[in-house]
Amino acid sequence: MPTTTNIDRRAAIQTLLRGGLALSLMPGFAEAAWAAVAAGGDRPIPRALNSDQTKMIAFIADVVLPRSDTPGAIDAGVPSWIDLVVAEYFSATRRAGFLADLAAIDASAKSTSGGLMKVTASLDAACGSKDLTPAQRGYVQLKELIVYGYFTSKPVQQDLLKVVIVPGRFDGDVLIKPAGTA
Amino acid sequence: MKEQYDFDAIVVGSGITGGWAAKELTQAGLKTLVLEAGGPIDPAKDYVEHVQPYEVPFRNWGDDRRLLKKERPIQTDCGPCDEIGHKFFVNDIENPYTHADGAPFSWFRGRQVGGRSITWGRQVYRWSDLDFEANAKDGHGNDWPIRYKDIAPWYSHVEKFIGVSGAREGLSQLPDGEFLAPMPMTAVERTARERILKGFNGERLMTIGRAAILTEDHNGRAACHYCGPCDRGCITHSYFSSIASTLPAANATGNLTLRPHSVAAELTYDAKRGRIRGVRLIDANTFKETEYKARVVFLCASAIESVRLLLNSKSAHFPEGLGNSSGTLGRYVMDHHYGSGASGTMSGFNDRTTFGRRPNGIYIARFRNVSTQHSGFLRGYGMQGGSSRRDWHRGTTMPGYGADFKKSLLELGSWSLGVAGWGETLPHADNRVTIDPTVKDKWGVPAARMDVRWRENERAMQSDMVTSAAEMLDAAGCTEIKLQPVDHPPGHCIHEMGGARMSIKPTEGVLNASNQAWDVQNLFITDGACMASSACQNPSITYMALTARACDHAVSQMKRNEL
Repeated sequence: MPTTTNIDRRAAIQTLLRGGLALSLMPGFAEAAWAAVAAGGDRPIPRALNSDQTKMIAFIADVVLPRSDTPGAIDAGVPSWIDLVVAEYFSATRRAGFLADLAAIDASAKSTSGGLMKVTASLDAACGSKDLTPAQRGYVQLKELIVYGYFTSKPVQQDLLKVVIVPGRFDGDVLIKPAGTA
Repeated sequence: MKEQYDFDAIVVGSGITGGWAAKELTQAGLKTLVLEAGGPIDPAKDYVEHVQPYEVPFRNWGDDRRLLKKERPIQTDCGPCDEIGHKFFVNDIENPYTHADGAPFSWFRGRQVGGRSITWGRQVYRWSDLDFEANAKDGHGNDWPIRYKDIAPWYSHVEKFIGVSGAREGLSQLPDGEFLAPMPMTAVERTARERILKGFNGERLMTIGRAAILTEDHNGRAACHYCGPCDRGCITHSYFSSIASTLPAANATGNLTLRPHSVAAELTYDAKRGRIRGVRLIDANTFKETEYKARVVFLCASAIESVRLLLNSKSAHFPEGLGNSSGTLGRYVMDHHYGSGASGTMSGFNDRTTFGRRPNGIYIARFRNVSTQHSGFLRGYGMQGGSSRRDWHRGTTMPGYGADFKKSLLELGSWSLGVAGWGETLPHADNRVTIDPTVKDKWGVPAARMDVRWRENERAMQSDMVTSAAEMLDAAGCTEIKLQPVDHPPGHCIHEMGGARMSIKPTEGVLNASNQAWDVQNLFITDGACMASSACQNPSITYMALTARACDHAVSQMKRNEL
């Protein structure tokens, strides 16, 4: 299973210890993120996101798509890809708007009992809705990036989705056999 | 003194119609020069249909900063102009055009050998006399100088060469052609077809799309391997492009000279002889000007480019543009208004899926104003669409998180079925191309200025598309039906046509029944500019058939020394 560690270990520890994400509050599915942090590894060259923003994105990415019996968003390098998108894909205007919305998420987390985990759960309900607050808007866009980045990553495309690049034929009606049948 | 020619024929443009003109003229023995404004394409190096999202930095989302803002702010509004395939679309900064206030126009272009035949949608549908007689019957536009019987043999000629997959249905409004085996419909589509037929008393028929994509090896080209994104090229040449079929056939004759990087700037006119002398071009790299002379010139540069070239070819004899004695040059521009429809969820098929990526969808033949008159609008529309099982993309917008959420996205979702309309546009004199008084392209050629608008008939039809789509999805058994009205600007369908229309009389149009300019005998225009009406079918195969037919006419005249 490919493992990509995109989080600066020391910076992550410092952030966690600052209280924004107390270790005692870390849910089970965030343990995978922490494991990735603990495993060390080089942080990519910083692009658009600062350390705090990177860690917040990594936390949310791991909440949305945690490691289970299949790789999670951290394993697939999603935070690093989002950093690239924000830095080099987004226009300056779009980037500024996105970072401002991330700040709204952060402010919401700091003012909410339960911190970022609780805020993430709350913001997630806004997916598919209109008339969003800045924090909801930031989360919706971030989640889109997380899901898109995960499922278009090489390990997920190849190992989980098992994408066949050259199928060689088209069959319009394939019967899906129930598991366990020949 | 006898005129000295550099070539027997010059063809401006190397795309869908330019390739056909090159093939037909060279096979008739004419030494033919094909001019292409863009550069050459090497399929082995340039085609990118097998590039995967993780092989490009932004996973094929696009690129806000470079593509959208800097190089292709207009082209990126066209789906295939993405991070992987943008190379086949022009740089908008180098190739500007303008539009009238309040009349946005999308002009998606490809300047390379092969033109837009590399990126086209590959849907091919014959016209019928319902279409060729429409202008005469309701009085909008001019009567076509031809009928179905005049073009039918040429449809066959083209279909046999390029290879068209499709199902024979026996519909009068959508004539059958020379089909290879059809691509399969999905289980959902087969069921929807039967239910819609029953629900609408046989009036509305869903068939598999008729596509210029090979379902079997054909004329030295391999059958489709179902990788999916044809608009990025095809290394096995399984869909029709001029690079894959017509240009190689032309080259095999030994009569073809292909000159890339050649920006046609003007058709030169010999007033004494009343003929086109040749084409003045600008080398795209060196900016050096050259004139090539020929006995006959075929304009196949795409509708707007060809009209632009004529409007830029003014002379004392043609102060309003070459071949414009009728005053119709640049007028009656059309496109298809498209995309309004509906989608829904089809339950009951969760034990079914598909294998491979079919580069084709379904087609619902026109049913409005075929046998009965609709009260809300003239003419009609066909519908295109398809079915598939929802995949992980649904997770980008739906609520949910955690391990179970991830697991659910790794599994197939429900079946979706969607259809949307492609509608006929009435020809209006005020829908037109002119030349912008100040804007020029990188090579100093004055730019086109568009003023094309949807009007009442198109609006009424768009509304009906949504209603009809929802009705059919309901009849098919869909639930969660979502109405999807859209409002793309003219040009967005990339079916721009008209501007140098064919006509029965020289006072009504630019071209005669053989696509020959009324005013200048050795000039033929066979791309979309020649169209007198738009019908609702995807138009490229009609352009191809008219091109082959016009070439036959030109060659016959040349053999008789009439040209």
